[in-house]
Parts: sequence; structure tokens; C-alpha cells
Amino acid sequence: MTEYRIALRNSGLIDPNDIEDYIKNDGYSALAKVLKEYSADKVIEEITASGLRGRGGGGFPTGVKWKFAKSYNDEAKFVVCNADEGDPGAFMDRSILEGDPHSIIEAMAICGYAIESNQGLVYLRAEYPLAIKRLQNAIDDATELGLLGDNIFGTEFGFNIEIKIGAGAFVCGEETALIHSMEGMRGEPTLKPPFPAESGYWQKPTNVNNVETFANIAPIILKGAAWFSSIGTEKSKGTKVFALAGKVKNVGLVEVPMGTTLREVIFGVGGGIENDKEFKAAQTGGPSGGALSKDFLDTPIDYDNLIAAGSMMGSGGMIVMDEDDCMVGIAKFYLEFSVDESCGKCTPCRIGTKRLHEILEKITSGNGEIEDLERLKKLGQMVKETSLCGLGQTAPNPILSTINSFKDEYLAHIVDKRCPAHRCSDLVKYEINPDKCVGCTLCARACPVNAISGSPKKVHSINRDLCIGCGACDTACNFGAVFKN
Amino acid sequence: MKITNFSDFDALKNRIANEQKDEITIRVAYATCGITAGAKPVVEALEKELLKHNLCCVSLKTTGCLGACYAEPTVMVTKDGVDTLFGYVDSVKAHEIVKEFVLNGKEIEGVIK
Repeated sequence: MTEYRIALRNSGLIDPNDIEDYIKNDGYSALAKVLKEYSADKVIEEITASGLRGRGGGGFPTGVKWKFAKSYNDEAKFVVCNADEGDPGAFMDRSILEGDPHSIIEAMAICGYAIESNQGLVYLRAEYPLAIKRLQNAIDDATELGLLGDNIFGTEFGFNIEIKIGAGAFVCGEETALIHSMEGMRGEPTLKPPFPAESGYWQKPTNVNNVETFANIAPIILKGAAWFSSIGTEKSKGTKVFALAGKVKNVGLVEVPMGTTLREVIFGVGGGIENDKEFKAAQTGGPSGGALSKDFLDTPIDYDNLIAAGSMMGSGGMIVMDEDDCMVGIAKFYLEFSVDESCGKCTPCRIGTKRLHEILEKITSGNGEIEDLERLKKLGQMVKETSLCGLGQTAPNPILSTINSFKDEYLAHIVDKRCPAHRCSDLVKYEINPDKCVGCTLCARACPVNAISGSPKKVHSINRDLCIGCGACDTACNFGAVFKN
Repeated sequence: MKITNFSDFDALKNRIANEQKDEITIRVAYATCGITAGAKPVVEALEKELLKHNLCCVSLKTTGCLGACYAEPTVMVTKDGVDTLFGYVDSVKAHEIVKEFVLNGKEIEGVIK
């Protein structure tokens, strides 16, 4: 299993501050080709035929999006690059912007030509200062060389790009919220339609694409739609970059053809699970996605298969979990993120995610009831169906997918008041292995709540009712006699 | 220089393509992640060592992320068209890469790919 680099083709190989290094690697040749040989419609046809779909999460066909944007006539239109990368654990957009900023500039100009826009905007989060610096430097260099500005290559076409720095809110990755944030208003979504293609930035036709989507444009123009569509699966063409993180040996960015299986990514490129533990699940799509259990290891990864598995592609974060991870805890972690990041505009998301989180909190603290499972499912479904934007519509996914694949873990928490992975501190109690205990009294002296009894040189024992699960005894013991249960 | 038409661009491309190529290229992954992991002292060490040996046919580049986050900082040496990727590089290793691997052509430890 090898990687196949399209979006990351130059990243790590060229000097991002040297425009000539980019040009040497076919840089700006796609823009030249388009301006010399293609009509705007022909560009859109090519991108449509390539089968490229949005890499930011939704997976909407890029060519169709461009076509919509072109169909609305206005004296001002905008091309927006969504670089508000907010999924915990995903950093491919930052890597592209820091390693190959010109590829985004070139693609935005091509998009501008296709949809008849002269102004590009990059919405880039303030947490990425180096990306901002390198992109601005690249914009300046391209402008100085005449590859941005008026009459590019002496043609009628002109294009400029401006960076808009985002203040860091997950919801601003949603395109309508992103546009409002750029306009200086609160980063809150609005109902679609109207889609940004019709009424976006300052109510003008606006096309929003993700960084990784743009990174695929120049190779498609240069090598052709047929080449691109020969890679991948029937409905998901090309490659996808995954940010492989968590309990995997080789954490990092990997770009693989669509349709590669989870097993090939994690055990092939990723080198397997750390410390050779057992694979439990992989969370794709961050807080919007779901956990894929080992049953899905051999499922080819593409947009549709992930949706069918109760997860989603998202921006491509892939967090690998092993036997030591508690799935209820993981679901709670993501819900906490959604509760924090919910903008509060619509009720289902604002209150729904909060209530879902409270139920999870109740379960992980040992107060869960069996009815809570049904409550989670019912409320989760309701939040999905009635939220205003993608944030709320996907926020319950981590819960619903873990209930689906790891119901036994929920039952262990609720019925047995046990956390099988020993992660939920309220449910973790310590015990002493009588075969290993030498009666040195160290643990008893370390215990802050005096839960350990026993006389010197005799086997000690822990009173479960008093134990608060702090682990001080475990740290103190020199004989490995203390264990979680 | 400003490109005002297609032939300007072709001329620029030709000039870049015909530039004399360095025989050896050393690339340091220098994105936020690499810098955080300690790529800066590595670059400084490489520069110092290259200067010391007065190597003219070696180019040193700082690039973006190569994706091998688990082994940052990483240094890739391209010699005779062959890429060798070193992981977990520190300034000591950087000196060794130039002195032993680049200059003397010795195989050294630390290769990850």
C-alpha cells in the first residue's frame, strides 16, 4: 500500500517561499493553459467530468458548485477559500498552505476565471500564523510577477486575493457562517437556500471551496479529467488526505486513493497500533463523524461508504483508538466540543447537544439508567433532523455510531457501573493483587482518603466504597500489586 | 520581472528548467509542526556544517510538511536522484548527515524511509 500524492504533491518538496520552485514543478502552468486554451464553461466541464467532490466534509461535486456560481450574473462575484480548519486532529489544510501556498492561489484564480470573478478571499484561522505569513508572501510574489492582478498573461482576466483572518470558531467552517464572519458579523449560519452561489459575500454570488479541494484543481487541468476520474471509486474520485492521529505508530499526513480500506491506512501506511495493542475504533470526520469499529476495517473509504457506516469523511481527521480507550468517554469528548462550539442560534443544537452531553455525563459517572440509551438515540435523531446547519446536523454522530457499534460498553457503564477500558474515573476503582502485595504499607500511606487497610508485612486491601480512584496507591506501589478494576 | 504574456511565462519556465541543478539537495520539513519539534537548530547546524566544508553543489531548502509527523524533525537528502529520509534529527545528527552521509557517502543510522 503506497501513498498517492495529488493535493500534497509539492508539500515537503518545494520551498514555499520560492515562487520559482513552484513554477519549476509545473506551477501556474494550469492557469496559463486555462487562460490560453479554455473557455470558462470548458473549465467547469473539465472539473465536473473529473468527479472531484468537496474535501471539506460535505462532498458536494465541485464542478456543479462552480456551475451554479457562474449561472448568477453580477458585476461582483467572489471566490472564497475555506481555510477555517477546525476538526480536532485535522491539519492537512495547514500543511498545504504552509508547504505549497501557490497551489491554492493558482486554483483560486482558475476558479475565478471559470465563474467570472475577479476577487478571491481566503478565510484563514488566526491560530495558523505561519500559514498566514507564507500565503501572504506567496500572494505578494505572485502579484509582483504578474500572476495575480490585472490582465494576467496579458489577457482580459484579472484576479486578486485577500486574506481574511478568522477568530477561531468551529461553526465558521460552515459556509454561510464563514461569509457572515468575513462581513464582520457574528459567525452564525443562515438557512440555505439561498445558497452562497446565489447570495453570498455581501449578497453577491460566491463560491466557497475547501483548501484541499483547491489543491486538486491544477493537476486536473494539466493531466485531464479522465486521469483524475480513473483514481478512486465509482462515486468518489481522486485521493483523500487523512491526518492520522491517536494510537497509531506512524502518526502523520497520508494521502491515499479513495476506496483504500481503513486497514490499509492504519496497518499499512500507519504502521499498526502503538505497542501492538488491539485496534478498537477509528473516528473519522472529527466531532461530525462517527467511530468505525473493527467490522469496518475492510470497508473501502469513500464519501458514501462512510455515511452508510454512520460516520462521514469530514475534513479527513482519523483518530485511531485502541483497547484502552473508552468509547462512551470518546463520545462525551466530542459532544463537549460540539456544546462549546455550538453558536447558539438554533434551539436543537444549542439545547439538544447540551442535554445529550448531560446524559453521557450521567452514564460515565455511574448514574446511568437503561432508558438513557433510548433517550440518547431519540434526542440525537431529533437534533440531527432539526438543526439549522451542519454542526448540529452531525453533532450526535459520535453518540449514535458508538451506541451502534459499542453497545456493550454503554451497558457495562449503565448496568454494571464499570468502565471496561478503565478510563472513566468515577467508575474506576483500584484493587490489590494479594499474590504480589508484600505489605510494605506504602499504598496505605499514599491514600488520601484512608481507603486502604492492612498491617505491615500482611496483604493490604482497598475498600471500594471509600476509593476515589485517584491512583495514588498505584503510583506508590513498587511491586506492581495495584490494578484497576 | 513581470510576466505580461504567455511567451514571458514560457521564457521564465525555460530559464528555471535550464538552471544548473545542484547535485545534492537537502530538505528540512519546516512547517509549524517541524519547527515546534526542533527543526530550527537542525537547519542552523546544517548551514554551519555546509559552510565549514565549503560545499558548493549542495542546496539546502526549508520546505513544508512532508507528513512524517511521528519522526519530526525530518531531513530528506536527495543524492543522484535517490531520496533518503532521516527522522528524529537533532543538531548532532545534522552534522553527521553532512559529514558522513553527504560528504563521505557513508550509510548512517536514522533513516526512516
